[in-house]
Amino acid sequence: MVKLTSSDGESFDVEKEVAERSVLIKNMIEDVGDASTEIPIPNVTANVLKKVLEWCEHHKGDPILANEDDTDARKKSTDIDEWDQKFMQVDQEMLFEIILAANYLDIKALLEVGCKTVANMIKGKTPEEIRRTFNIQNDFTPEEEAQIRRENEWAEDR
Amino acid sequence: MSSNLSPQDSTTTGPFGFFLPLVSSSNTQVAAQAHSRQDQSGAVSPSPTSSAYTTPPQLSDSPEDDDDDTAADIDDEFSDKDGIHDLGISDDDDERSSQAMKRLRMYATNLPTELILAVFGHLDSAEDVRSALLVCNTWARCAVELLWYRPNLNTTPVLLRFLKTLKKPHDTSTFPYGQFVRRLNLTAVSDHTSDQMMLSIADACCELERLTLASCRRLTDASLVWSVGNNPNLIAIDLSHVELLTDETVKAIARSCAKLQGLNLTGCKLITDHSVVQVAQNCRYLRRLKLLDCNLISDDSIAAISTNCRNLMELDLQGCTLVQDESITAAFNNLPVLREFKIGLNPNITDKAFESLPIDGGLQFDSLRILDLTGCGEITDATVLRIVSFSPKLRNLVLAKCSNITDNSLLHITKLGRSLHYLHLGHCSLITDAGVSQLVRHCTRIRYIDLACCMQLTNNAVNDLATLPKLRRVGLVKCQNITDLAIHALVQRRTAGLENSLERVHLSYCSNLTIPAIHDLLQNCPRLTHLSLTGVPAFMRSDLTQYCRAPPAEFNQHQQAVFCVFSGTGVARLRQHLAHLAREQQTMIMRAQQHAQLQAHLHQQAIQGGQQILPQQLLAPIFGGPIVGAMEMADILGDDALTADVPTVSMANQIDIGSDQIEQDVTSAVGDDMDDMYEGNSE
Repeated sequence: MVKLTSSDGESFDVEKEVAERSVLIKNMIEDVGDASTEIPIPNVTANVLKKVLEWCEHHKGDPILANEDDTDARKKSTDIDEWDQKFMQVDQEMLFEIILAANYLDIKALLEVGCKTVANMIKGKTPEEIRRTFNIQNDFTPEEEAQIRRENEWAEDR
Repeated sequence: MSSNLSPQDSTTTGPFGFFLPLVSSSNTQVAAQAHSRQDQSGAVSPSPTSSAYTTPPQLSDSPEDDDDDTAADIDDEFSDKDGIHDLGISDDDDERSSQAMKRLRMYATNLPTELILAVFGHLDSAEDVRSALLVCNTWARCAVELLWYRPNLNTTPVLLRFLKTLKKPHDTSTFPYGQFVRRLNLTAVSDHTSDQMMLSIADACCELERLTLASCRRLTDASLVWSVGNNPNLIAIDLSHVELLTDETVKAIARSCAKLQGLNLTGCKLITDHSVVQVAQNCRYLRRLKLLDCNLISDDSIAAISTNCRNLMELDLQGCTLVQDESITAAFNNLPVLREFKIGLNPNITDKAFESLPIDGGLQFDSLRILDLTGCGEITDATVLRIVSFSPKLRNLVLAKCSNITDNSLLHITKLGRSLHYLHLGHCSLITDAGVSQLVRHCTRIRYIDLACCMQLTNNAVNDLATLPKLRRVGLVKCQNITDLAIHALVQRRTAGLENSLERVHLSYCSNLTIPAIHDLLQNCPRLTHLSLTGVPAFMRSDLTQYCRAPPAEFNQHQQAVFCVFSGTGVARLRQHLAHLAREQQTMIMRAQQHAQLQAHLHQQAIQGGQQILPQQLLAPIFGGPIVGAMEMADILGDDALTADVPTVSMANQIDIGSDQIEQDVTSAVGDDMDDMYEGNSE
């Protein structure tokens, strides 16, 4: 077992195999050379860490994603496995926190699921619909927006 | 991707620094819309209890459940969020306060750039990326690189608008667009490219990594020298069939592109050893080099390549007719990772090229997977023995038109066993059923085999081929001994409960074949996407040829007249049509039976006299009768029904199918396998 401590001071006891889904934690365990040491996770709060560990638990048997052989097919596909889809049905704040945590903890597969989930929220929408979905303010002036639209309109054709 | 969260002071900015505190009201939380669309069909309820979403069991069973509540209480910022499963909420702006909107937007725009890019990387349409680009400044900076990274220039209007933006002066353009372009492919618009256009592109784009100008025939050194000179990061250049280019462009590549890994100069017939030697000397990372049909290239080039390009994996020298045996030997001996070697279409190549290569022990060419010796008419069984001995993992072997090859070669090839996937023996006319039988027994993983014009083969060979479990493509053009029984074997083959794996079947000039056999083939091979029946008399009728694809424009009138190749949807339509014909015939047969039975009944009735027959009794034997198969149907109905109003039949019979005017079945699909190319090769 490994003890992880969140940024807000909460401790989690997890199996080594589960914790090592995170390359960051795996490296830390290797560096320390002693799995019983408490590992601080200063950038992740308890509620997010709990959620991330839940994902790690479910996926503990999966093969680790290789670094380089990102085939286009896997990268492009926004198919998400059913369990992961349900896992990602969280409010938007949690969704982005999971992505940030997965990035920080270096859990590639989880990062990918998170990014795919956000990508699915973008697909097929107009810029205005995307803004509404993510509550993004349009910070272009009308002239700027018109110019960018013109400059990139070639990409409308499919 | 490296971690890029920097430690932040959580007391002021929250744990990630990127986030403002979140308003806890569930109404302000934006739904994971992708899911709400899928799972709830838009009928989204804000209530946590009525959501269609169910908590994953792992979540509720989690031992930390209680801790989490505590944590949430402690950290007020995050209260009321874990465990909230309402996907809340509609797109209705009115439901949200402007303050909430302001806070929430930080999530999507304040992700680090590389994470925004990672998200956009999962968008597969340019339209989606373009929409993201227009959302806000932050997203625009990320999306613009992605959108321009590999522009999809598939039509002329797109190309022209793309150019219009590229040509804008830097100070009037929102972004330096040209610098974002990494991969440029103008092949789809090759007819509309010009030197002037290429110069505009090269002025704006200086970060290109891949440049594909295949078939841009109007381009010359005038634009190409500058284009490659301004792009030192190029790693792959495809100039195939840019036939006007000369050594000047190739020398510019050698000067500028030290990182080059792939160079395709197929059909650039003006280039000489001068420039290719320079490429070999300066581009040390070269892995793929195609010089197909560069017939001024000689042994000097190959010597330089063999000496300098030790990383070379793929070398195509087909049609380089000045190249001699010694070059081939040198390439084998000096290029340790050579994987794909094409040396065909060169009458100079003889057994001598292979004689000095070690057979046993010592150096083995473990990496060699593909060897193409098409048309090396001088080589004999002895060379085949050497090849299979020194490259045990050979997967594709092309010996088409190596006319000295006999069954002994097939015996040698059995050494490759399960490594062999692809074998082309077209026009190896000495081959017999016995050789094929040996081959099939040992090389059980063959997926593609072409035996075009191996005219000694009979149904027995096809029966053996039919046992290959993974067979996907089979070429039997002009194997004139084969009959419907061979097709029957292909249809009936065992496929371990899976559907028949055949995808491409070439049967042109197998003149014994009939419609029922092909009907049977079509009905039983659902994956079939290519079927060629050129010069099969039974198919020379307009109701069938209407589903053919158009003959290649370069065919002469006679060739166009006999061309009969079905591909893609054409196969499906032919399948439908033949099934329809079969049903019609069945109906006709049933009517004939009905008529005969009625006659018989009436006859009997007349004999017995007086006894009345109910209509049902008349119909019963008709609908209860046996179903007649397609083959029988044709037998019953004979050729009259099948070939009515077919003037082309007689014409087809006049054609001399033994002549050299065999179908040249050229595929138009770029990148398609070479099988089409070989179908029925001329001569």
